[in-house]
Amino acid sequence: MLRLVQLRLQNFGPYKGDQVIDFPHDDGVTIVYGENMRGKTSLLNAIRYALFGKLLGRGSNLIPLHQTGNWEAAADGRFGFKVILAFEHDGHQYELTRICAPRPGVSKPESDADYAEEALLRKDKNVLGPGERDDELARIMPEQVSRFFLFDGELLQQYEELLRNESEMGQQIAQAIERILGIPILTNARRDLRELHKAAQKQESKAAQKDLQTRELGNHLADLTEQRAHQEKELARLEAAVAQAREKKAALEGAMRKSERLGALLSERDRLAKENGELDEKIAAKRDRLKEVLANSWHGMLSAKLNEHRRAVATKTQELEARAKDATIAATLLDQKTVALKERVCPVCRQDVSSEAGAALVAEVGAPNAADQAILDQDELLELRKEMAILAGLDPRDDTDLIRELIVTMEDAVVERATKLDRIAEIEDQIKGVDQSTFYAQKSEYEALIRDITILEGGIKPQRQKGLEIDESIAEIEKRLRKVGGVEMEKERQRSDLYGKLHSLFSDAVAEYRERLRKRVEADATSLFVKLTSEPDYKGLAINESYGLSIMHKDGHEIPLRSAGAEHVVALSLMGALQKNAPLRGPIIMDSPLQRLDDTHTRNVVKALPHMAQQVALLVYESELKPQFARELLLGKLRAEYHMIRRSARHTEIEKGIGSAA
Amino acid sequence: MSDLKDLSATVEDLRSKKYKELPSDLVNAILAIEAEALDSLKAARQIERVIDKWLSEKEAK
Repeated sequence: MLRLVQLRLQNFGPYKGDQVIDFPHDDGVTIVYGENMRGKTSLLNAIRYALFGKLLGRGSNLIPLHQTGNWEAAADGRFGFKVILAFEHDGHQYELTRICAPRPGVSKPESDADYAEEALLRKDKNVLGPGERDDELARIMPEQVSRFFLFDGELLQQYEELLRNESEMGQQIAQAIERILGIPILTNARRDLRELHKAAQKQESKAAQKDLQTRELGNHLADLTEQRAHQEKELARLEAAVAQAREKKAALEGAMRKSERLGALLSERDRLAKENGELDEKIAAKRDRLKEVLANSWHGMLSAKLNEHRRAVATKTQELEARAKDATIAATLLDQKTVALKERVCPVCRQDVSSEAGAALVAEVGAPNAADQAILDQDELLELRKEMAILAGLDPRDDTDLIRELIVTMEDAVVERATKLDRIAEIEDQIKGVDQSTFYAQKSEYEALIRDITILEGGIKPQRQKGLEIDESIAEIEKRLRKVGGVEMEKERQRSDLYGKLHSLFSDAVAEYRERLRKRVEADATSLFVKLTSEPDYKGLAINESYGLSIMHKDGHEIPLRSAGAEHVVALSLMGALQKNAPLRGPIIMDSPLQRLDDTHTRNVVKALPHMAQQVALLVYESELKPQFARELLLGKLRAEYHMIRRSARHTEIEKGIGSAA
Repeated sequence: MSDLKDLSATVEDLRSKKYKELPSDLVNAILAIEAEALDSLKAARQIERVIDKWLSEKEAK
């Protein structure tokens, strides 16, 4: 286990001159109090710089060396800085010194190019060479896992990435988790044994080629191993290309996350503009329809008059038709009267017509009659029917409702468009002067990368299948060779067999260990989470394939959205669980880890700290964690207290004790 | 890597159940090499040497 002993800073960031923190040897917590802008994050960065030679700022961007030296010291002509970290690991004492100083001949450095960096590692007082030094440091604390030891606010977002299986950042963190948990030991063994197995098969084929009896099979085996070498080369090329594309995608995701707000605004603006385009089309279509309907709208105004006229024509027609009927009857009667006068006998009753009746009949037959009128009526009736036919053909539809609906719809669309235009103007105002081209370039590059990854992955699958087929053919040839091979062949066979079985064992072990670890990490994170959370309805955490942890409600459902505070508690639970299960252990150094937590959670977290790692260093401000409160909570596990003293805006000193709160 | 207890236990568990013919000391030696190795090529050579030695000893017996 890595244990910090002492951190010594010289002109690093706000720390002017020499500043020292001694970490107590006993297990427990060291607290360094410092108000905002005093140098808590710089302290975390100093440890990072000592271990990995890197200075990280917000958004994981590298901080220039030239900006890291103390400004007041630089003003006095003392440029550069030095960090010395003393630590213990596996019973050995180490002292790691990193110096950043102006290059020879540079009296007033102006950029990073004017500085030279040196690193020196002493192990038990012996200075290690550069290669040995880097190997030793990589073994003690690989940079990829540093996020689990050096905790700052940036981590919270990274843990959220673990819940999104498709996220590249999430996959990279999951890989780092597997690294801290020791899985690469097994995967590297699997890879190395696979290579050794292949070499042994090659030897086996060479031995077979030397023997007359087995030459043909040996040649075949050599040919197959050659084919497999080509196939693996191609597979490796594709896998490397995918890995590279994925790495780029992850970096791009990180960069795009930084412009997330801009991205959201631009996406909203583009969406609104698109919707307004659709609204324009809708408004134009409605306007055309309205024009069309309005062109015939006068028909509606004639409707009442037309109906009145229709009724009058219908009435007149009915009258004429009735008169025509009466005229037909009158004509029949006249005929009969004429016959009666002529024959002097009634054609109906066959009685004789008296002279009196005859005189009356003469008067009636001579008088004007309905039949004469009927001829005139027929003409008028014909005219009226023609007019009625024309009137029936006229359809003066009343489109008032349709017109009203079209106008209302159009007005709504115009208002909606105006609202959207207002919002677009608001967005334009917010992004005024911001470089949008970078965002669009990133977006387009991101989409291209996704396409590339899909194509490359499409090529990997058949390559893997081809590899399996070659392996099967090799196994078949080996089987046949072993039936006919001699003593020399037997030795090679044994070697190849041994490598093959070892490779299978380590392949199975990777899957088995991974599964066991996931279960253990879930159980340990749950145990810690239950202690940390103040919500009694949360029963624990559930782990996913990439070590992302979801909060589980006691009713068995997953909590879909969680607050920043809950995220914080989950992250701390994961860190504790990883520390417990990792072959690689070390101190946890946390920069302002309690600022998002309420009093109850702060109390729970502080009490749990000594159980998360053997050595914990907290960098906090006093209102985040009151010194007296910390002492009560940690009791004997609080091993040391330091505070940062402001001498000036560019000059901080570190002193033992708790300063103002003492 | 300081504590390989769980990792070794997992591998040993599998070996004893599924790969009994593989010697435990050889498997542990490979684990130890990989736990210390930073360079794959060096690790492979070390494993090769361990296995050569084991095969020679077996043959001598």
